[in-house]
Amino acid sequence: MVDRSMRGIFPVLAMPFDADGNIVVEDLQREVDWIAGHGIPGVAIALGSEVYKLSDEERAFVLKTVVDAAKGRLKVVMNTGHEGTGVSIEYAKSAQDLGASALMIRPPSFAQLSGSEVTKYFVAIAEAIDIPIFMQDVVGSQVPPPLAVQLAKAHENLCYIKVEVAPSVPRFADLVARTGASGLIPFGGSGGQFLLEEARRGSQGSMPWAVIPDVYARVWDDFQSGNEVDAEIQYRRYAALNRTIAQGMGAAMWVNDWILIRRGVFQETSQPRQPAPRPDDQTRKELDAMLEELDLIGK
Amino acid sequence: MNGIFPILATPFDEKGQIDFEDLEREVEWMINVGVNGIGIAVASEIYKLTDPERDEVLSSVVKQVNGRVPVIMNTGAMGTDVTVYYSQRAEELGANALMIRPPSFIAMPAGEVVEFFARVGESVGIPIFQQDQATAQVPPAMAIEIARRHENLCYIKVETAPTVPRMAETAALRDAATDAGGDLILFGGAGGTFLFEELRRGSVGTMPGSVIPDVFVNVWERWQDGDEEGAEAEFRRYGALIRTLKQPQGLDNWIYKEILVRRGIFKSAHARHPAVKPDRFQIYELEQMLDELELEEPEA
Repeated sequence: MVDRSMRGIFPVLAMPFDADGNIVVEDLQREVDWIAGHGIPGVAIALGSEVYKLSDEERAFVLKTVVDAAKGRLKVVMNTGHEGTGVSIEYAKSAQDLGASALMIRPPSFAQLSGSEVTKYFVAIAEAIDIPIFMQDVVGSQVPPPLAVQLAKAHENLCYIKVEVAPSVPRFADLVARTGASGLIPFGGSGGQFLLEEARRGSQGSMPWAVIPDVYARVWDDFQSGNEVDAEIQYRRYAALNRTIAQGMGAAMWVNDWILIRRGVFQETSQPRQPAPRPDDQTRKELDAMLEELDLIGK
Repeated sequence: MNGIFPILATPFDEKGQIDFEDLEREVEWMINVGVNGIGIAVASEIYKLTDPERDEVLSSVVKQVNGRVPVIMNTGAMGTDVTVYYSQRAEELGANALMIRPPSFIAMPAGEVVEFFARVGESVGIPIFQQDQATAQVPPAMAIEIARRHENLCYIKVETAPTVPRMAETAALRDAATDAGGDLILFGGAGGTFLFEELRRGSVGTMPGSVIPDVFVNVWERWQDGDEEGAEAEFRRYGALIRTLKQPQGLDNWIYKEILVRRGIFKSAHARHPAVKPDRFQIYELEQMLDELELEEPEA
């Protein structure tokens, strides 16, 4: 029986690299341990982890490191999407063998496909494995609500979706209204910008950045236990920070590293792999001012 | 020109007709809170107005403003001749400046875009804001080249994300230019989301929506007085609201106007079709945010 139990905050891990672009294993382990320490249910290794800049060997190494460091405390979702169905199936099987709890996959996007081709792609992968798949609905490769429901009916492993096409708030409402008996379980993403608005519309969890997992978990739990207004007031304090992270993937990678350095999770020299446009030094000062105001330094 | 230039929301009644009384009230409120200028542009749903309506809105705003602040009119169109026509018409009706984005329906090579701006620039006697947006970009080097072609092409509004490095790059090229390209004046936009980050990198103003002009003017003035830290800390309080205002596909238009209704400026929040309408939860969420922010009652 496929695992349909995943709910809540699943931060997307930031990938620690040193100045030469080597993965810093101790930092990755520390990050996983730090997240698990906040009572969070799972983590993801995905686009925000620069998974698209890793070699096949490194992908396997990172997944194994994270699964080991999680010590059963966290579910681990691995992004195994690829432009070709065959390679995608290989990645999926390998991730399953290495202990991934679920996969995350977006439709091929280099050559745009029709809905029926996207369906064939997802079903072929789903049939090759025994763990669930988060279908990823992002601007460059969308899984519109009607297609998502159709896919969920096509195979039991296609039972999660991460909705990230803006505006995500009405997209959630639309998706949830169509879900019916398909059993599709929707998650949010987009850096958690609309975390609670999405929750109010039926989102069952979210995959935000890994830099303030404590904040996400706290407001998510607060919200779920009925303290909606408090949760939202709390969460609004982080809007300026979320906005600063959300300036495109390149900037996000740097800003995330800088936050994790200040919070004591990554070593001082951590930086993303190239290409990743580096925000100017002024950005770092602006970020520090925000972190100080939010009392996040060293914690 | 510098400072806070809000883009007006266009008030429509439930049938989609322009409510000129509300438009006048909106303009008067802007001026009362101390804005430095007013724009009629994309956020005004200008692309959903007929040509006579464009004229009526501009005339109404110019009359109400009565010379107290500059009025900017967006006159961009998909063809050069139509853009010239809109631009000359806007100048005749009293616009103090224009804002124009490159034709985008059929993407054009750089040479054609530069020529487009040059021809429009020559056709009027007022300055033009080049508009750099994700779907119709004016990259930094092109902006300088355009500025060289005519003295009217001396402003740019930088809105292609990420705007912060883009503003810095445009400013650096401008500062390196030893000719008319060096006269380019930079504004931010994109809802004012990165107001201070942009000011620090060479912008001299911004064009946010029209729902919290009082807040923008307040933080701008504090910044001008040298209180950077206080201005920014105050501005961060509005981060969640500004994020809510940036939901595309017409949600933004509805939400602007829901706020203007609650602030006593508009009678109706109607946005012209097509526009995704917020659900009742979104209104609830908005009211929660407004409650927490305790915005001041506009003076009558």
